Amino acid sequence: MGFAFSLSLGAGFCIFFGAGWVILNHLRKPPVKTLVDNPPVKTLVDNPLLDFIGYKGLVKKSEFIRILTDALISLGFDDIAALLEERSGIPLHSAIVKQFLKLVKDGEWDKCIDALQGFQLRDEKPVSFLLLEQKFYEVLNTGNVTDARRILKEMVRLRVDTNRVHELASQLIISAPGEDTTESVNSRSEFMEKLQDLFPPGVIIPERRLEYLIEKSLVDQVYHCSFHNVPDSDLSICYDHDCEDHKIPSETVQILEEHIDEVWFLKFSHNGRYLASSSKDKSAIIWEINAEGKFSLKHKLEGHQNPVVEVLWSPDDRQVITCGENEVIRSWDVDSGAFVGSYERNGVGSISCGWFHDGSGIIGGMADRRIYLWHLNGTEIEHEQGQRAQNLSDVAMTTDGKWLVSVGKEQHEISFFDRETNRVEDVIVEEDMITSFSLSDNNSYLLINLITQKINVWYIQGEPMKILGLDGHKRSRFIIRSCFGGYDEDFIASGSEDSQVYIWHRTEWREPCRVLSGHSGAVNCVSWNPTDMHMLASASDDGTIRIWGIDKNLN
Amino acid sequence: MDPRQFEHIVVNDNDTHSIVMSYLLHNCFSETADSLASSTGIKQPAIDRDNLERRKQIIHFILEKKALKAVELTEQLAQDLLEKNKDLHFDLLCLHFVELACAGNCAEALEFGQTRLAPFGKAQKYVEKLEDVMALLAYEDPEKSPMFHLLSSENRQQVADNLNRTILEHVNHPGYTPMERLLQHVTVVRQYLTEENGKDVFPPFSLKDSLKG
Repeated sequence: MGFAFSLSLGAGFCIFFGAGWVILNHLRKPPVKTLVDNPPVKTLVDNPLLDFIGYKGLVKKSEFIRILTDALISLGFDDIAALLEERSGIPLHSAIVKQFLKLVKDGEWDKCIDALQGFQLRDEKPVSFLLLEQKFYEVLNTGNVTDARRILKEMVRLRVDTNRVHELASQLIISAPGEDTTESVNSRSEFMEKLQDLFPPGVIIPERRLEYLIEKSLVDQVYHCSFHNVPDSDLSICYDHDCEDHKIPSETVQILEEHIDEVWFLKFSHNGRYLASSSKDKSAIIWEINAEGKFSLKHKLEGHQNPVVEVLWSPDDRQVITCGENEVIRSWDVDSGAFVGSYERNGVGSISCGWFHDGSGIIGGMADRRIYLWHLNGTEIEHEQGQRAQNLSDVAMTTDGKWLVSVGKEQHEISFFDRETNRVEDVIVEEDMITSFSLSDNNSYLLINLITQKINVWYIQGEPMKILGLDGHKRSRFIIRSCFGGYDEDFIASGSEDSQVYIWHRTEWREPCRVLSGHSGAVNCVSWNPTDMHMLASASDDGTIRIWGIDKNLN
Repeated sequence: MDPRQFEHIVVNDNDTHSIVMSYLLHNCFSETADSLASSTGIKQPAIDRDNLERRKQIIHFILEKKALKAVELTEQLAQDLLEKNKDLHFDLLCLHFVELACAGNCAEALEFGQTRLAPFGKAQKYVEKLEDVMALLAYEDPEKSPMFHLLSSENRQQVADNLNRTILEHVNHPGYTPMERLLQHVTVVRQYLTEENGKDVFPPFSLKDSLKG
């Protein structure tokens, strides 16, 4: 929303309101009747091609009317479109073009080629080539290989693109008759685009051009929105969008106090309706959100003999696993809160845990510095047992099931174990010791927390590449966790030993865009609600959990 | 030792004869080989005459534009040879396709393409050649197309040589004749000498020129 004031060179100004365009041209010479002052009757016919509109005068009025006509047709208002053409005196397409487009639509390729003469194009051959290509696909689909071959011969004679002819030639034997080759299926819009490009600009108006322009404008607005964090459904073409930075969680909405000691870990369920937290008080708690957006305790999971370091959700959110410190991994049913079973190794304590991407098994990082895998029923799965570094902090499986990610043989490495080839295929070498890491939901990014208080973001599709390094938060003695979140997982949130929550945006990473105060002890872990981009939760040594939301005063 | 002083090296007659003989047998010149044996009195090595005669037939079929017959004979000779050498198999089938296309037999060519060549199209490495071969159908005069080399006798000779080699290796015979190997050695060594010592000491080597004498 905004009130923009601009002075144009020469004489005249215009005012742009967020809700619509109003053009005041009185000061311009010669005086031109506006669309607002006078209904558009015959006046527009006088100089239809010389009028420009837009607050900078860049838009040709005739083109504007033509794309409006096209928009009306695409919406099904053919009669209104015809009326607009008549009243404005500006047809969407000239008679020749209209006829040509009809022939194209009807697939009358030979007639299309004949009709090209009427256009007096500089070079008809590329258009003929394109049309013949369409004819080729059609004929090929009917199984008539002989005729298809004849078309190729015509195409060769045009000498436009012999490589393309060779490619098409192999289609003669590769595609079975009747089977739509993928190329011809999605080629309709591509074909129309190529066809339009071969004509002088403006001769053919691309279908749904207005829609495209408007949507492009929205996309640009989102691109330029610095801390974009609203769902796509919030966008409107009625005003320019800019979150500014009002849509980042900024104030405490709720404080959850049921834990009786330091809260070490928390995570939202995949469906965003629950929050699970684990504490030094040897318990884990499942919280449930109500209709007003407030959390209340659903179940307290008790049974561990040691502090609980992690609590993680199964992919279907029906179970959680908890990891006792140097103890065992336990699984619990979310609905009933009942203990289901435990995963352990004789004489070896658990350090961290994780879920299989499909919920069919459990991963455990154990005190003997090895990673173990179990089926859900508790039977162990064969797995390479190479020893990892001393501080085997986290283990995770990517959501596509391809990789097992963990700290590697050295403390400053992350290893990617390929489950298909059964070996470590990739290793990220960091500049310092790694204390914890976190994967983005789309498996493209990895967040690594280093002992030096640096948080590095790596792009892990293909060859791993470091893309960002974040500073600001404090860490010296404990494991502090960070996570991705917000719109398109563009934000990174982290706990800190100075009791604050730090939030950075991926594109403005030099400084945190938010630092949230409120806790009175180190913030150990943060989790961003995957279904509510305005909700963040933090777990602290002060024994509380804070739920953060957007500042209502700013809206 | 100065590599330029080679004239005092003694070359044994027997060695020369056996080099020529092995060349003749490799390329199936059986009558010439017999003739050489009787003229020089050297014994022919114990070579499988049956194998030689078959190879001779197969090579002829290829050069005489009867690639499919060559394939048939090869399969009789060694069942799994073409299976194990898919590139070669593909080249032979392409030759047959080219023969059909040039003879104007386009319907049969298309059918042959669909049944025998199409399966190769699934592997990326054959796609480009497949496209070139198929494209012959799009030209009125295949000889005037950019792919005219597919119709050439050099192409047929190359495929024939390749098949010959493969068959020999399949029956545990060397695929390259001593003559070829020697010529290859000479070329490499001469190039090396020129590179190491400069063009003034060792002028660049041309096999063609030195064969002129």
